[in-house]
Amino acid sequence: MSTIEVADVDGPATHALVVGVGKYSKLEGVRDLTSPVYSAYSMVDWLISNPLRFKSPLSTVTLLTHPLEEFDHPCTEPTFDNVRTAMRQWQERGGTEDCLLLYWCGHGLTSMQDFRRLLLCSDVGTDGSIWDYVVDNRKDRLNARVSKARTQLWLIDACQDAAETLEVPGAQGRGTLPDRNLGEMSADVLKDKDFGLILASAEFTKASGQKNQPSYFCQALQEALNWKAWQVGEDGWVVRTTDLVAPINEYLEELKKPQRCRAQDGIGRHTVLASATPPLIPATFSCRPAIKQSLVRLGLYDIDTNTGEWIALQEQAVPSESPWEVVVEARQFSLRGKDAEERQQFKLISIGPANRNEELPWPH
Amino acid sequence: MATLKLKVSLAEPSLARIIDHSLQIVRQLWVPGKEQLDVELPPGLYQVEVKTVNGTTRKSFALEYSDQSTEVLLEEVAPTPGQKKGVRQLESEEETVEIGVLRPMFLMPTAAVRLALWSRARDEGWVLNTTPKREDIFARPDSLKFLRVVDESRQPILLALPTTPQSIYVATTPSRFEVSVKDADKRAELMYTLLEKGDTRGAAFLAKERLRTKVAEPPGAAQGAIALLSLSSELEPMNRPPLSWFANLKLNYPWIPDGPIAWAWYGLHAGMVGGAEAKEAFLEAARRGIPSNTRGLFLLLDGLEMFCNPQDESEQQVLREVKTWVAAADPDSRATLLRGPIEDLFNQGPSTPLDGVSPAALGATETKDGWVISANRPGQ
Repeated sequence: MSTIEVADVDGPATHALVVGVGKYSKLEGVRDLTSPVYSAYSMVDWLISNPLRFKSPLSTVTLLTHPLEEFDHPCTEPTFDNVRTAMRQWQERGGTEDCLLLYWCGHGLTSMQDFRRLLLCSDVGTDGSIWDYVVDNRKDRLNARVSKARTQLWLIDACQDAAETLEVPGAQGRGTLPDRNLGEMSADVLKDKDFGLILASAEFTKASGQKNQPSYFCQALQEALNWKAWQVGEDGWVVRTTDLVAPINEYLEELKKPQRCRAQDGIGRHTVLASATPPLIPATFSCRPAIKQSLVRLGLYDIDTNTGEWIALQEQAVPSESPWEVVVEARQFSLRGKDAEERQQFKLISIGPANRNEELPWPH
Repeated sequence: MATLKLKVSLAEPSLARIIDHSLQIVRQLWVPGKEQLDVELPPGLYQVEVKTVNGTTRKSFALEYSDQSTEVLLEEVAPTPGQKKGVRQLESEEETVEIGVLRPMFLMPTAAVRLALWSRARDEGWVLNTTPKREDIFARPDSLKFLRVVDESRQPILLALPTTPQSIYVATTPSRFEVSVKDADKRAELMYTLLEKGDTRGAAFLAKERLRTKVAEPPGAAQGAIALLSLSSELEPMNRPPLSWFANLKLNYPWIPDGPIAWAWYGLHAGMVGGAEAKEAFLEAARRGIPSNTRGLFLLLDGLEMFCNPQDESEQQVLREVKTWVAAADPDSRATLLRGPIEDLFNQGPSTPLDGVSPAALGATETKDGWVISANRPGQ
């Protein structure tokens, strides 16, 4: 199995499994996709570039996808058997305090009869068989609940078309994890466990992306993980399993895509990413009315809590009527403006993921 | 400590928050109407924000708040600068969310719609009323109600009604057949609005309030209990509801299916409920009938799939029945909304499919694409 050892982590760690299925050569009528492969590599790039943003630092990334010339990450073909082996190894890797992260991109289906969420592996159609090479993701979710790891986040970036569209009866799929006898389990098996599941599209609708590009969901997810989903937690800034849906959908809406993701199954609300320092927010500042902007020098100021004095952090003459674009920490500032005659205006502002555009009113 | 005088003068109820310099929410307050609230706070930099039920957020400018009392006014129209000492200029960030209103279409409605009401209160069992009156639909906040809407040519719809429905919208044109409902309880509306916008701290605060009001409105408490399953960690540990609150909902309101579901999942996550007890609770929930919250319905399926014995035919029969509910459910609807052949869902046997009253008989107003039936509550 192609596993990238990102870091030796002493203590709680995050283990990621990334699957991108794009080639379905054994089954006629199911077209190949390019976006899942680019999405998988893009997610691996994001993960290994940000190992310390995880509350439990990233330790391993296992990648199942098809080779691409532009990327040199080792990968394994996402056949059913390989997926089953990878899923089991990944689940067993997770200790109690560890976080298990799954990203899956590829063709998906939903069985209308019993609501199974089915994910197609690359060998679907081998020897004329379909359902033996399809993962029953819902069954896996149920069996994964007894895993030792208390925090899991599964991100399923796949269409959820009705399985009946394949016109092959008996849509079933197979679980990749061992069946568990949960009815007899003791009271502490699910204690404090959080199993976040985010589906890139609603049941019976499509997830999409552009050819040779990461999918729209994948782009939105990374934007959310970078800054949009960060919230103030008890000990600093955090992204929790349930914080991702709203910013992902906001991004999809900005792209004018009808696709909307949804969360399912989550009971807890565990922290996945954590940072003592605030996230960096791409913010814009401008004057109102805009005509004044070319005459005003804008600045961001911070208060010195010891002396009560204001200290300039950044200043910028904004020459045109386009806003001042600047990346700043999420926090409160004083936005100040000064014109050529040294007249000043100021406004106290809060910049955060939900509020990143501010205007300074200027008297007529 | 000094006192922050917070004057809220908005037409709608709202959730007010005081946010400190590091953007932490230091206080949350439910403001039912126009009120002045005195809040004790240490000196510092703060911002006051109110969220109204329709999703509008209004924020004061950040405040340099010293050891003297400071007054903040939040109202519909910003006062002119310098109008009153200590009053800060306002800004507003409009985010209108359309709730439950169907957009008009220029198509005439079809005429053959019939409405009937399934309801259950206390130990009466499920009752199908094919000649409901307005008060049956809009009164009795203690009972669980499902509106059945039938059009002769299309799949029938079954929609769980909130405790205090305000307006029911039935759109029935050749291209659309939809039913939606607007809740008169503004806290419930705001709870869901905040949930959808990812504001889980505010939603958690309101969900706990909903669960607390179970005596007056048990179905509303069930909404809060289900929402709390994923939100309770947003509350300070000492402010999280005890398992007994969920147990009371389960035991004292045996006609509410969502009660045992919420109790079992909350208990499983607290490490206080074992697999066998959870299984019994899920089976009990299924016996009570269709959960009134879509999320509750999906959690019921999860629970039964996890805990039912694959070799036990009676348990598998329950699981199959719940799967038929889930397969008919609209996952985008907050309240349970089922489409399809739904006559047997309450284990009452099939009724005549077209039994029911016309919207006109309930005093509905005809619109371009259907009907609106309103409760005519005060303030509408």
